[in-house]
Amino acid sequence: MKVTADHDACIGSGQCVPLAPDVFDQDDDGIVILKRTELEESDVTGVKAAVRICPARALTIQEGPK
Amino acid sequence: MASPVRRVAIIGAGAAGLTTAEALRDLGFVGTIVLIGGERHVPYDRPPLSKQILAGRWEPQQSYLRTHESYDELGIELRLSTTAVAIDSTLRCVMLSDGDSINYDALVIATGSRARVLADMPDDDRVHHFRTVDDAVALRLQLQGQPRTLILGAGVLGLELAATIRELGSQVHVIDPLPSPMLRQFGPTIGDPLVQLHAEHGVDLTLGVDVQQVVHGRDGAIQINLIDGTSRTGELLVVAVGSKPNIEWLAGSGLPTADGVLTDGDGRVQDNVFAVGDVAARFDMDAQRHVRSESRTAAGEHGWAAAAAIMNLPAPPPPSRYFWTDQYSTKIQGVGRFTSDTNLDVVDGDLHSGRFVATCSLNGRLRGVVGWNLPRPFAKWRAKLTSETPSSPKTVTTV
Repeated sequence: MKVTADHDACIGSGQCVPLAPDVFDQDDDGIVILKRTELEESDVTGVKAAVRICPARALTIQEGPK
Repeated sequence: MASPVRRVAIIGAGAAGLTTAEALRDLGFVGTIVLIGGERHVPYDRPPLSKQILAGRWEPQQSYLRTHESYDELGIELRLSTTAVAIDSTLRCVMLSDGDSINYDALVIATGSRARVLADMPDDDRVHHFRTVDDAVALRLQLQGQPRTLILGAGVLGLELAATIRELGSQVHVIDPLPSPMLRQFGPTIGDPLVQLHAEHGVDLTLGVDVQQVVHGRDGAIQINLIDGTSRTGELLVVAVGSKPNIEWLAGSGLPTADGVLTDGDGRVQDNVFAVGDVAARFDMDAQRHVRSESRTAAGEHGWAAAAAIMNLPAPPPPSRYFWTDQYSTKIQGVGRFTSDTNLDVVDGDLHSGRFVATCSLNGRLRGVVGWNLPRPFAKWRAKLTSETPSSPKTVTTV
């Protein structure tokens, strides 16, 4: 499972960071930084919540090959 | 133990209702989801309405949160141009405006709010309220001749509209009886830099003066007479004086309502009934009363929390109380609580330099952080606020 971020859509709210701190960070403009894109099992719930809670809807999860 | 939920009805198809539906699928819900939307548009996002859409940079479709086809893919039965008119919570049934009715095992009330309307406004199609994407398009059309624009209300919406309309070339007058702009969101903390920002862009702000009446002046213009004897005149008026929750359809339902549908701290109204987004008045442990939070951020957080509760999964972290506003090229971010009895300390930058972070504290405890064009330092202070705030009301030890 992979996560991608649309950096143009990101508004720097930082809502994703506390939900999955191992995956998300912010740069000096507040824009999302992906610390990793291939998700570990332990990341999945937090990242799914971040995808929905992101007020700019800038995050997407892509299901990997089964 | 409640019987398993097989059928969820979500009444209201804004960001909160849609997020609830999406989150249910994320969390593995395989039953039926019916999403009822009163407007003709598929669910859309509201923050761009006063900015990208009003400015004409986006077409309405660009605010849509998902494509029309993707509802089928997600197994969401979307019914548009339909409202709920009543519920029977004993029979677990919702009556719809088209005469149909639907049964549910769990109900999510997401009917949002509407613009508050003032009495005694002139009957004139140049008097606007601003809530929907159709409202935004209607206002945009009338702004083409750069009419002098009057805005009643210096809250977040009023000031966002002022910024966008000013940038379209119109003269803008903003009038509010309160002494400081965006008082409801930030208390008096950032009133001065907000006044400065708008003055620098040539917006005329009249604060702390009540409106006596709104009339048609000479040449048919719209004229606002103020109680100090002065008046403001324009060809267009936008009334942005807050919102009212859409709860009237719940009269007789037996569900608790006041200024919104009353819920516990997790969004639950009753056993199998939830309320999310603008319409929900959640019980706030800190304030010890029910509070509506009309932010885009809360819409998503409420939706996720309601889905988790329906699925009997652990509650997510409490709402972040984060919100933002974009005016001209200034991004203002806030998190936490701002009240008139808190102290404001500038901790980075300078209050009048166009870049700063300020904190609000009460009795030495950090309560809120506001950032003005300084996202990264804001994020650091936000993390500090989060770490100093009890993670959940449930963990607070009672004595």
